[in-house]
Amino acid sequence: MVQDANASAPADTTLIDVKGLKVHFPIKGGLLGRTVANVMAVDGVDLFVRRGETLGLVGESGCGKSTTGRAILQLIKPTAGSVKLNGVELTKLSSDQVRQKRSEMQMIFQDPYGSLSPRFTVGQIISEPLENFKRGNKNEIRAQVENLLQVVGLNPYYTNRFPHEFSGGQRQRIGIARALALNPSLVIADEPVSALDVSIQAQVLNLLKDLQGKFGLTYLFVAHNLSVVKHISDRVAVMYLGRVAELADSEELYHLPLHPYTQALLSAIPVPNPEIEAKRKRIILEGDVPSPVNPPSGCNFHPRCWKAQAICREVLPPLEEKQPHHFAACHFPG
Amino acid sequence: MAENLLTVNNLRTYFFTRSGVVKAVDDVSFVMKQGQTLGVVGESGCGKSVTALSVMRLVANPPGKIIGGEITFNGEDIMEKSQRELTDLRGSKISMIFQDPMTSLNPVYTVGFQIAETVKRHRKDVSNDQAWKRAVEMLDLVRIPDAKRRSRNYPHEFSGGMRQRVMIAIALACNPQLLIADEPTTALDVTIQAQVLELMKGLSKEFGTAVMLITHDLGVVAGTCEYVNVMYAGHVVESAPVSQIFETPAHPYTVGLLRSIPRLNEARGAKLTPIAGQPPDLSKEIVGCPYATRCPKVQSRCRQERPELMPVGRGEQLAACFYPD
Repeated sequence: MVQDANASAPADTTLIDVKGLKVHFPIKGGLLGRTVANVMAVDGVDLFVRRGETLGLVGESGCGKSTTGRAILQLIKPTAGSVKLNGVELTKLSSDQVRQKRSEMQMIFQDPYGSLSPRFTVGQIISEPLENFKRGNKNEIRAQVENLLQVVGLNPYYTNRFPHEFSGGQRQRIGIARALALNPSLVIADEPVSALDVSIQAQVLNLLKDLQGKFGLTYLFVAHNLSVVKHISDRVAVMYLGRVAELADSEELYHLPLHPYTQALLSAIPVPNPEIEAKRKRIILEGDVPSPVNPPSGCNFHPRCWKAQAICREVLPPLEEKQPHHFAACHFPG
Repeated sequence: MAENLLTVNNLRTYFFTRSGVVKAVDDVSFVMKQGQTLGVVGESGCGKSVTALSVMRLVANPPGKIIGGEITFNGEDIMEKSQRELTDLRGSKISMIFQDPMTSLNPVYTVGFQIAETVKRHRKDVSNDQAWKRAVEMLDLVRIPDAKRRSRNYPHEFSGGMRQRVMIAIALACNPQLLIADEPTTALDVTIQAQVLELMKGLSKEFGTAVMLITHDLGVVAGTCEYVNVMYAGHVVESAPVSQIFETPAHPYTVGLLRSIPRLNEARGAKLTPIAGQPPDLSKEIVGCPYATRCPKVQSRCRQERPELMPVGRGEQLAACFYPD
């Protein structure tokens, strides 16, 4: 049974519903500065996130995963498509209305150094959203900040310190506290642990999981590390060149990948076990990811795909439910 | 048994900064045999890159300085060599590739020129034509399609993975005995990383080049290395054949590292066991074992004495711990 990807999203449990999302960045050139081409960073993404779940968004650099995250938050205006938060269409809202909506959706950034203002104390950083949205008087806000610091595992005594006094892992905790300040329902985490060392990365991943249980958060977890994404996600969407190639329950995706790109990606991950490493067969993909300025016709993976047939060069495969709750955009899945 | 290619004894490299002396590498000893692949793993700031730079005598001075120890390469004392002798050695007998392939290549010269330059620097009897031929041959060897035409291209015309392959071509152009690769695939995507690692493995086997692979990724080590040094706070805390590191890790830090990485084959909802706390500040005096503040097995002795790298009773496996697993 083949269904449309979005038909199976039950309306009452869906927090975020994305349909046909496109983000194109113009390339200006020539004497008159006209648009000569477009970088099709996101080119028709469909996905939905259920309330309280973690959807992992993985892919290699330049596949459009971060841009998708930002376009959902309306930090980048989408070129086309619809983004619904709790049934409210975000792309049609004025910038003022979007600002009001931001209290419900927050972001955690990759770089724990660049994302915290060096001139603000930790207290100022975390209280800023609370003040912007007038959540209480001075004393109430201070109490909330101290509470938030405690929640993310930092000493409340640190409120008057500056970001440079903290390590990378601690800074990332500050970023998380700021994102949680307004009690959002959706948190988009863009590579939140990629800049951290493994021992610290595990601390932050555990924290994110604990907070989800405590506050009923919904995560869109954007990352390139598949092991990390599998660890934290309920469902995973694999992106390639601006489109979703496969979307499934995380266990199922890792055990029975249907899309050839997912299979290659999984086989490329080094496993910390020499015995498995010695035995496994790698699918080594030829060549590089094509340019999103001029993506290949039909299925955009066909130039690197070992299963490609004539139809793949001509017809774009839609994201379809190939198995229950398992979507793939491929003419020859399996 | 193969001969010792590189012997490092009690190496100490310190950095003299305004905020104090940072003991980046503090008493590191290890041996590399001909053709062996050694993985050096550890977290940022543990001294793995500084160890490699010290072997090449490339530590910037000031602020850095090798203040003690012996480095012997092929029976020759590296510490005694003049700058001129070192320049002869670098790129011919010992080569290095770095993490960032964009900044390691010169943007204003074609890649063919940059490979040929290395060949000509070290082989006085080689003509320009022969050097260029060698460059094309090397590009072909690292599987750059259409090597002859591509040798006339500039670095910006290549993708990240291809640039790293050009770096490998430069490094291997003179058939070095030792290749030091400092996080060679960290800046690359997984599918490209797989290509580059496969290539490095194949070439080092083909030419019998010994490889020192510096990485933070235990997965990469498992797939590529025969031997592993685990570093922490400027010390080698464990040294063993790769299978032992993963099957019977002896040092609590190695155990902690292995428990804190998410795995693809783990059960759903499994919790990671992170290592508590943070690595120590290397500009402060550390008394006792550097891992004592984070170690779950710490005893009073660990806070007073620093453990030496000792056999743990399982063949070649060594650990710097009083209470190894």
